[in-house]
Amino acid sequence: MNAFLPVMLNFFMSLIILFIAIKVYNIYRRKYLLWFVFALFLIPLLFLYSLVEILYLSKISPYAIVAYPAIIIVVEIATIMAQKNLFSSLKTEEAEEYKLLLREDIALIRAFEKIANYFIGRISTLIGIKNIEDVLEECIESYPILTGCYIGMDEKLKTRAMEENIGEIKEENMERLCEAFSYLLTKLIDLYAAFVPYREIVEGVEKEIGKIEGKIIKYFVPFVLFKIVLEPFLRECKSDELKSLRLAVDIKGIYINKKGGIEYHEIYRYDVAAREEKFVKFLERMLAVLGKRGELEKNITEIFRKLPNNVKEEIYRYEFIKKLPRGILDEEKIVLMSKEKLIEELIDRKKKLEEAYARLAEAKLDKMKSNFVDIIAHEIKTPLTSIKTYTDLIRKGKLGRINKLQKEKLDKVAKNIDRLTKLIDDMLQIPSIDSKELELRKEIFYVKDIINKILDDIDEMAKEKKQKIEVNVEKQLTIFGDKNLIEKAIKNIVTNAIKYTPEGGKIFITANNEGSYTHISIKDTGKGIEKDDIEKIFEPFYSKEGGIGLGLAIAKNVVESHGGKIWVESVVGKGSNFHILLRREK
Amino acid sequence: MFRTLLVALTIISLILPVISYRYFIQLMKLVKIRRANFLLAGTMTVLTGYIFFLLPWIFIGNDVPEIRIFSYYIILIGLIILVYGVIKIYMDWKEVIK
Repeated sequence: MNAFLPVMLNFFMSLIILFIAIKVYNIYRRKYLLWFVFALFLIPLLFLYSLVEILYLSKISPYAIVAYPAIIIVVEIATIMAQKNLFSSLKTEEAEEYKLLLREDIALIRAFEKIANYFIGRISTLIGIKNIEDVLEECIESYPILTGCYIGMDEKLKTRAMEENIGEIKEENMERLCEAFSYLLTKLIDLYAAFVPYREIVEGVEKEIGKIEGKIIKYFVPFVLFKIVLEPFLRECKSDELKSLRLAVDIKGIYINKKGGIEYHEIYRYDVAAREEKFVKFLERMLAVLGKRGELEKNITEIFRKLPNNVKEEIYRYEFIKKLPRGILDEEKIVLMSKEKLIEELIDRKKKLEEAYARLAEAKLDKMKSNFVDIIAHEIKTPLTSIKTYTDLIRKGKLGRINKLQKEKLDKVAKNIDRLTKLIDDMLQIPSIDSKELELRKEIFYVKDIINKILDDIDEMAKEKKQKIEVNVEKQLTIFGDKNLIEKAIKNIVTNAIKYTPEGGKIFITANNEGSYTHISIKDTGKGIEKDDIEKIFEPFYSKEGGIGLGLAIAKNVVESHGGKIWVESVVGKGSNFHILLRREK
Repeated sequence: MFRTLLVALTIISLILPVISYRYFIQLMKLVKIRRANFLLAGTMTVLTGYIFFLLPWIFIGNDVPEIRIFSYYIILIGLIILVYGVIKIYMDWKEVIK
């Protein structure tokens, strides 16, 4: 029974494979897949048989084991049949498998071969196989890479299939291959053009190229542009016109032969943009020499429009179309241009929409944050008031006598409760900071009054650090605003100045008249603020020294709510100077 | 008689994979299937397990339970490789079939 587990695991594994094969077969019904499914169907059965064999059959007869190789043979035969079917499907060029499964390099060879064979089939009835053989031999001599291609209608011309000789064709060989086939096709077209009008040849080639699938169509673009779009016009030119053209079209790698055929030799070595540039240059010079402005452009446009859809998809790109001279594909230029602009606008709008969404999300988050802090602060403040009341009652002996030590400790408790209450009061202003919804009780008051009050409050703190505070405030200087809030804002800054100025340092508070504004400045000789931090210090909860980081944020909000301005100048190591501008009168 | 039959069938079942392998190589030159090596590796492992499975029967004429279990595990490894390869190829194909 030890074999039970691996047999069951094997059974399930083979079921998975069978399941996938059936799934593929359902989407893509092919005979070879059916063979695969059959082969894979036998494998789980084999494991089931294995279970039965272990449990019962082996005890009855040793011949039970013979079933294994027998079933395996059937599986193998089914697999071979599947492979054979797939192989023959790939050989039939019309089959779906050809498009779906064939490797790109092999598909390219097959597509070129098809076009070459199209010509050979037609010419062989006109000039005989011998002459075609000569042409092929010459081509193979110039381009040995052609050896191994299925070119030619007669068995004698067929050489071995290229895929038997090659592994994977490298990119540079693809270029060489395209060049070789272009050379061969030019020769064959020249031969065929001696018997039939060139326009007829173009129609035939267009049909053949229209059948090409997939990415390989890109390799046919130069062939289409030169041999299908331009050559029909050159073939109709007189010999003197061809001569002038040959002189005018002085482009490396491109040559016009005596019959008006265009030969290009190195074009595949350039990238797509360079190839297109060469084509446009050729076209411009051709238009200049032939001089039939208007008519020629119209005819070329017509040829462009008749091109097979697969080719059009490849070459009707804005970058290419806009390069074409005026008069050629003008309508397409407008359509593509408007399409490009439309896309640009869509992208731009999408970007703006995304930004708006991001801002909205941020605003929502801020609001949530404010609400949260507000609720928490209120929830803490209520029990804190109760704690404070009872602590005071105990401290004052209203609830019974307490000894000295207890009183000392309770004083400390009371002091910390006061600190906590102040902190919560600050926190409760956070929603106001973010949403700027301060309720202002504005009045005109003297600056001197609030400065004196602040000095009274912080005097002890400054004395503790042996700091000197120098005040220079004009007596009659006023501010129009909420006295309490402005006092709190200035006090926050002065407290910070004391906190960040070392012992024995100096703090200067000055206030003077600046037009319709009062300018208050609080300067210290502290350690200063680093450049990167200057923007951040007014943000809520920004603190480098372990504080809660609300003082300056509140100050900023208060000043800005009054339509004033607050800013700081600071030099690291020398100190900071906070400036506040507030309206003097109504 | 029993062993002769078994040996004959085993030989046939080992020749057929060689033919299959030749087709496989030809196909791989034409077909753009990546990860086909997993199929090859998986099948080879399964075949190895299969050979181990039959060895005691061919040489002793009887079953050796330890070798049988061992061969099942080898086949399991082969099938795991095959499952992985088949899933990967299926993912690639899904794109093409679309």
